[in-house]
Amino acid sequence: MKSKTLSSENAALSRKRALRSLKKNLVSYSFLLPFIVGTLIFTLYPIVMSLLYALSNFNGTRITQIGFFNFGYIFDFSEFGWGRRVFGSLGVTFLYVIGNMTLSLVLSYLLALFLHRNIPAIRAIRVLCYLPCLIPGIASGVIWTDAFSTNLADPSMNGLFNTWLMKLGLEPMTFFTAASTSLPTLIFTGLWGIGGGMIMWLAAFGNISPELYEAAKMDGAGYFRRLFFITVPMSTPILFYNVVTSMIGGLQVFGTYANYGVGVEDSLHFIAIRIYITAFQNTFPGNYGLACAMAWILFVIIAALTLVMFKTGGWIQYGEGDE
Amino acid sequence: MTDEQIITTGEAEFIAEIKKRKQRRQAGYYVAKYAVAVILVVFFMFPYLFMVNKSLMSASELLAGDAHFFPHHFQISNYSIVKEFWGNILNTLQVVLINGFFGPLTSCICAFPFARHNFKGKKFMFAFMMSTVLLPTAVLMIPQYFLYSQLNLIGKLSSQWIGAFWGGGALNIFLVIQFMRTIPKDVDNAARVDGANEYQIFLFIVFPLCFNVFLYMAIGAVMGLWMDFQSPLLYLGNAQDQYTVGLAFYYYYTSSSNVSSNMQNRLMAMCVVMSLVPLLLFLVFQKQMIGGIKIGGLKG
Amino acid sequence: MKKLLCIILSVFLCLGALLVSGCGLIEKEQTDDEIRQEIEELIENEVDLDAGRDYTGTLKVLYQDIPSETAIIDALLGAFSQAYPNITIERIPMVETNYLTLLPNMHSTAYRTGDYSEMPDVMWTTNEVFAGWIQRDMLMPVNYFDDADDSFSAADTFVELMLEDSMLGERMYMFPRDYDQIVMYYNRELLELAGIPESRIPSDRALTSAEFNQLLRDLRTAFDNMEGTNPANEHPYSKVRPLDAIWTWGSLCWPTLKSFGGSVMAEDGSVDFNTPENIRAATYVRELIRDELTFGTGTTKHANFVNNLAPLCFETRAVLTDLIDQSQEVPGVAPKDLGVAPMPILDSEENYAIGAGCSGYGMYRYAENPTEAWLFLKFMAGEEGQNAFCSTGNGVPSNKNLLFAENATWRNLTDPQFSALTNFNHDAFVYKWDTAACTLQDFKLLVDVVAAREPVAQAVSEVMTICLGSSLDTYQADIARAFERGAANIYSTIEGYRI
Repeated sequence: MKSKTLSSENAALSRKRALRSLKKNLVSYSFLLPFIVGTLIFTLYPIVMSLLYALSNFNGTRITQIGFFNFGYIFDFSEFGWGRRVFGSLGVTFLYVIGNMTLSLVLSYLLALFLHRNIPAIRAIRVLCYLPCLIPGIASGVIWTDAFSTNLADPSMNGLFNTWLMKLGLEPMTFFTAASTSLPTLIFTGLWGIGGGMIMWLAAFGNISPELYEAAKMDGAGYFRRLFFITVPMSTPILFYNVVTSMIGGLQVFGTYANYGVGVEDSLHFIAIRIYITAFQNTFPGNYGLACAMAWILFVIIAALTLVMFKTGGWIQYGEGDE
Repeated sequence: MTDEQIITTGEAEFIAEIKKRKQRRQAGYYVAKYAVAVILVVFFMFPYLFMVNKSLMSASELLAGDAHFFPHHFQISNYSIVKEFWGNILNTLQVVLINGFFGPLTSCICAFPFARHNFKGKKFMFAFMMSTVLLPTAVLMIPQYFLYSQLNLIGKLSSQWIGAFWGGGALNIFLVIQFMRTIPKDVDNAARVDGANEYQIFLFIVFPLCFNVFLYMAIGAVMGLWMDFQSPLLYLGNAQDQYTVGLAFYYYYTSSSNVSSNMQNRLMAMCVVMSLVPLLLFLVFQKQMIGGIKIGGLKG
Repeated sequence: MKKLLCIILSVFLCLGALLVSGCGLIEKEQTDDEIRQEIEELIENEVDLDAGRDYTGTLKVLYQDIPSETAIIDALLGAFSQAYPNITIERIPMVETNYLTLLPNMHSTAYRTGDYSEMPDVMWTTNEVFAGWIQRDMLMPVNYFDDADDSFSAADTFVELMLEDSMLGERMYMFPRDYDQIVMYYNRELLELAGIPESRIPSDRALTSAEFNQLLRDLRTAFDNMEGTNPANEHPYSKVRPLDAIWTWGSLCWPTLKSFGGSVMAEDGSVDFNTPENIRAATYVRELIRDELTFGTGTTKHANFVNNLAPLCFETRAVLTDLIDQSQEVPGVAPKDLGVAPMPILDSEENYAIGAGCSGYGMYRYAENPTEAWLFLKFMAGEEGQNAFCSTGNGVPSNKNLLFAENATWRNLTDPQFSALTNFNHDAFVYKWDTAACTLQDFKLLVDVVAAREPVAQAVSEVMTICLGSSLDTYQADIARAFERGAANIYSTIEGYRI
């Protein structure tokens, strides 16, 4: 009897507690409501449909076939199969990501090192170096297509850079008009955007505690020792973050389409552009199924690369302050 | 002259010499530094100068080759092209303002429980949220197009801001979570003791403290969407009165009837105008921008 | 391990469920006979073939939103609503670029929701774009209408070349609106400056290749030695080059190859592109650029001509108002100075080829107002519509009965802007229209994969672009290599679309 009341009391208490925790959870989830609703409608539902389309030959009007054939096309490496085109695009995209990332990260680091000192007017210089990042992509595309325009047949019709080259007595370059030079040229134009990375590195340097440098100075470490044993290791977390995000973003590069199209001989035919064209271009009757299948291949690649990066992230020096 | 004097003057000379050398070296150092800085600034200012110069050239100057950097004529009338895009600029402003306000707001709302509460499934929700970062837009592009068409959003400006109300993206939520963790918990615990509920705590205590990161995200959203081209291209359809300035400019730029008459100067004038907005925003909100980069990059 | 297995299993389950649910969405592809039956039923049930001028209804017309097309549709619809006063007209302007990408998506949306109210009844189209549309069921095969309606016959109305351009296989998908053939415009003012008498460009026959080349060289020499600056464009006269032409434009590029005996596809459907004739044609053009007789690939459409930087220009009738427009920033050509002559012979006379092409109007497959659409198409093809269209000045009729009629509107322009046109040789626009004129269909029809036809045409232009952009020292080797790679590219394009 006694034990029964106790247990019922216990039960009531635990029920109350459960209710309270439920209410607490509900309050928490109510904050998440926008995210949950948005994800259900604008992410999860499209994901399911995307999978379905990837398994069909949906062309915008009707589905007449269902199966894994789209993936068959993508991995069809025969002479005229889609395999070469899709993986050609992936290759170009990887080259772009690697070229763009290394160049911009390394150079922005050097730039930040140079601008990380106190000389008068340094702030103004920093801001001026950052400003080109603020030119909208489509506008900078207009600028670079114009400045790098080429006309080997008719040298007087060349763009500004080639005209300058010729004035210096050099051979004009092909820039965007040849398959071999268009990707390097595109990566080169990325140089004007390294200011963004520079600002970030400067912020990172600012967060390294001065005591470390003081201690190193006491030990008689010179500029380069301090650089390689303090500054560089302490920048690795931010480096890692940027490598991951710029890789994910870079693999999906699409903005170049507005100005450069797909480039000469597909030299700028990035995978996201390939997906867009396969789905929405007219010359080939819209193959939404194949485009979705390609997009899933891209997803698998991005996910795998990210996973690998996180697994091999042992080289990152997390400071004490970080969680 | 005594020996002593000679020695002292010699010493003094020697010291002065060292000082001079040091000064000279320092001066040389400065000169070198500023020389590099000037080169850098010239390099980085090139696109702006190129754009502005070209926007002032006359049409016949651009034809018949001989590309040159400085304009021979100053033709300000090229800037009258802005009139053609006036309606598009207003559309873009609408899109950008709605996104710039509600995106960061919902990011803050969604970040709050992650930063402050312990609830069931928190870990799962967090992992789930972060995994959406990996999902390429290409995967969602096609089904989203049909979803929008079912919701009758194609060709309407609302298709450009409907996405602002759902958390503003995982990376933004993550940013706010990181920021909220730096706000001491004592503040809201004190309020809790005073009987405030969670909504009040968020609205009156935590959210106001997040103002800087809110501003950072808002500016980021404005800058990112100001010239966005992909989603207007997909969703704005044939409704020309709804076009944003980026899309209208793209069509203008690729239209054959404009390619035929050499309009590079007017295009550049429009580019200058389009670049002005992000430029001004940055110059005004420099502090918040750099502060935001610090939170976003460093805690990652 | 267990977790992993669970994940894999659930993924497979999901895929299975998707497949099963997907199978419910499968629709059958229609056979040719079914399509014919469906349309014949539609004509019988919903289309009023005897509709007269008092017919009441609505018509939705979609057209390109560029000034020249707008002017044409204004003229056409103006005349149409006079003839059919009770038909209300809704206009749907569309950005040019959207024609290729957006319209098919709009169609998908309409098809899936069953709501066709946003879609047009009639739309502007060309041979270059409609193959993909047809594959998506967007265009009505109007030949069934033609068969059912006794009052009209497409075969008796249109220029055959244009009729061929409007067909895909056995079906006709478009009513051609214009007949566009390339001519040589010239600027009398510049000819006079160069001391070349106009009589050197006869109006009743094409220049032979020798005459043409001599003319180019004489013009070049004359301007090369001329001092001073042209006040119209502020450029020195020595900058003037004789000929402005868009060599990489398919309608000019293909006849150029053909003039030299070149080919793209052999009769049996195999690729026959890497031929000495083609290489000779490309070399010819490349050497024109080398000798500064024409402009390279960098120039835009007739920009040099309207800037008075070139006395000669290869263009079609469609740009006439652009050429004489003097209100823009560029100087333009004064109407009294604008002359026109037939396209010159580039090589031997037997291979003489003139580029031609057309655009027209097609009917939407699921048009809400098929009767009105059919009325419009018939009206547009008839003399009334064609004359209305030609009154804009930028058209030559596709109706063959009007080509040589002396009183046809296109030969007697009344608009004040054309009043100063003097000695304007309208016959040049139809010179040898029945023997020398050719379209890209010459080789496109030989490509058996329909989807690959337009990409092949683009590949041909691309090769020309590469040839003309090759550098001065190595152009011969570059051109040979470009054609070799071009042939391989065309082959792989065709095979690539064959799935």
